[in-house]
Amino acid sequence: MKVHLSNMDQVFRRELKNYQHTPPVDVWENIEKELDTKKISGILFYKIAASIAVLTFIASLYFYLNGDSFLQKYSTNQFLTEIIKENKQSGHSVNYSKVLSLGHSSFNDLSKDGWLFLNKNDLEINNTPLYNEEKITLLTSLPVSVKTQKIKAEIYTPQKHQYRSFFAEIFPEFHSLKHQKNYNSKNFSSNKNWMIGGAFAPSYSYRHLTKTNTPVGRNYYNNIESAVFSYTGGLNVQYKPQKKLTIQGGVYYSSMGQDMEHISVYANSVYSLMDEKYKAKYVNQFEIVNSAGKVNFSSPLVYIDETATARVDNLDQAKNTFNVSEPIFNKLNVNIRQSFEYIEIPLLLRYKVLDKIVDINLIGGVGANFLVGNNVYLIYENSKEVIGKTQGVNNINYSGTIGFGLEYPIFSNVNILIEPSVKYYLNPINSTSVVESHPYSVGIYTGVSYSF
Amino acid sequence: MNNHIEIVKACIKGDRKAQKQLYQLFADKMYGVCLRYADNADDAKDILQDGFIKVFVNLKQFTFKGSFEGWVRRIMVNTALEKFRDKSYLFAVNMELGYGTRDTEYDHILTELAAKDLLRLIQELSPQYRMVFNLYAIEGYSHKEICEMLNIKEGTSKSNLSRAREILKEKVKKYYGVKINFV
Repeated sequence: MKVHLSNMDQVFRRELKNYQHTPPVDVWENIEKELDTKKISGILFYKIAASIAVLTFIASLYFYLNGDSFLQKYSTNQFLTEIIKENKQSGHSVNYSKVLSLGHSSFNDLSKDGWLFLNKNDLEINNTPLYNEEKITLLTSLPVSVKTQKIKAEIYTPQKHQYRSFFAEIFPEFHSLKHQKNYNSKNFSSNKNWMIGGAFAPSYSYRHLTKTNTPVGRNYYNNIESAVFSYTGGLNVQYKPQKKLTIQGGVYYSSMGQDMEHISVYANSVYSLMDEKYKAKYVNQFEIVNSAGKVNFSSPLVYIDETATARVDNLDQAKNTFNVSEPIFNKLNVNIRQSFEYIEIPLLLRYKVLDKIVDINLIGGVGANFLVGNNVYLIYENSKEVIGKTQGVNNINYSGTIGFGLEYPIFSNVNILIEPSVKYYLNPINSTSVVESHPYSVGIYTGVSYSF
Repeated sequence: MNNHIEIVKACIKGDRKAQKQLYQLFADKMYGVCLRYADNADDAKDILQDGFIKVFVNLKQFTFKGSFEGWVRRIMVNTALEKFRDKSYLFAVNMELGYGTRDTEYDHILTELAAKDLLRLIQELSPQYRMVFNLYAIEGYSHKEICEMLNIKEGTSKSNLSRAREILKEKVKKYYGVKINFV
């Protein structure tokens, strides 16, 4: 593009384009210091990442080994309680103290589910007919009974355990699931597989800016916009295909958005005094461009950008100078909030990493978010007025969710849960905007679920 | 230029000696650029510092295709613009002033002025006028590019430029007007 230069410009250009000056000596020292801290923070990042990986590995190892070590610890209370609980749920009762007195020799293996796995040799020693009877007594002196419809499947020798598949090593859960399948009996399926529930969360909602086409840069938008506190909630249905895994669907409503900062709003005190037929002359067309998109609206109030950019534009060229220092203008103490409301259909997976009185779940999943509300509000004292809509925002967005949850049973069928989680929009919400804006929200869900 | 490439490659590997060399190669030129965009020497120093850190951090992104000096210079200019955006909260006014008035009578004085005097005149401009004047008159960007860089309307860029020129002329007259009588 050809540039028009006046003579004066040329003088400045000639003299200053290649103007050089030696900077103060401490500049390099400061740069060096900064580079050192950047290096350290880089190393720190890898250290943290490595620590997380190691901790995750140790934790999984702990859960795995601990699960199996139950097999050995006959005499610990924890283990025996487990047996009673499991057997009660499946309609069997085992007398705690008598099982304890059985001693090691009668059991080769006990799964953490509470099933008794018997060594064939032991059974032969005890001379007990196993294969065809509905009920057996393990040792004549001890009236402990178990169901034995498919007794072959119950017999697991220690050797078989040593050669479990690699898959079973990683997911001990699949291992015990295999046993359950082998029993192939309704009597043994103790889990309730379906749950319905509801959850609500106050949330912190903002957006993450990725790419930008303008040299204004993301920092600019981060300085002039701010997060909002909002809420989300809904109903869900959960299905439990196996003991530790839950699949969740549902319908959630969530309100998200951001505040626009550094825009001053002035009321023109003349406006209210004007006759109706002249009022239109005091109404201006404004356009605000921010990271989420463009907002067009008309207002008798005067909107002025404090950041000296074209973020706020008065579309009426004839009226685009306002001297807001004139006494007829009266600065208002307002908030301008860009709000988006979504209905979300989530698909979440919950994996139980700790199965105790309070369960701990890891949660992850995706969701489709349908835009149902798109408003820009002027919040002034206690009133909230819609001034317009954000142009060009997507009607459907896809989000990813991660979190963890604590689950506690208050009745046998009812659990309460607390689940801190983060939802991040995988796609930018407005393809026409100069910046790619990915909304996110951080919330702590509290809810209940009912199993049946 | 080939010399630069070797240094740049060493810098990417994190070689501190090469980083210092690179700094020494460009420090004076870039400080000259920063001085034009800043209010004062302190701000210029901050811009230079931040700019160089950006250069070192983003060095991997340099494609070795264009001029390296141009690349560094652009980073300095962008850093200066960012600082300006962080700092200034001016009201955006769209003043339409005479555009392209004749400058001849001031040219005589201007040619007498040294770079240092001109620099002082520019530094005294308000931030937005200074940015636009620097970008257009000295750096050679078009109004279209400037309005994208500063996120302003093209008309605003044009009117800012002509207002900057007006102010510069008045200042020349005020500070050096006496001198003209003796030339």
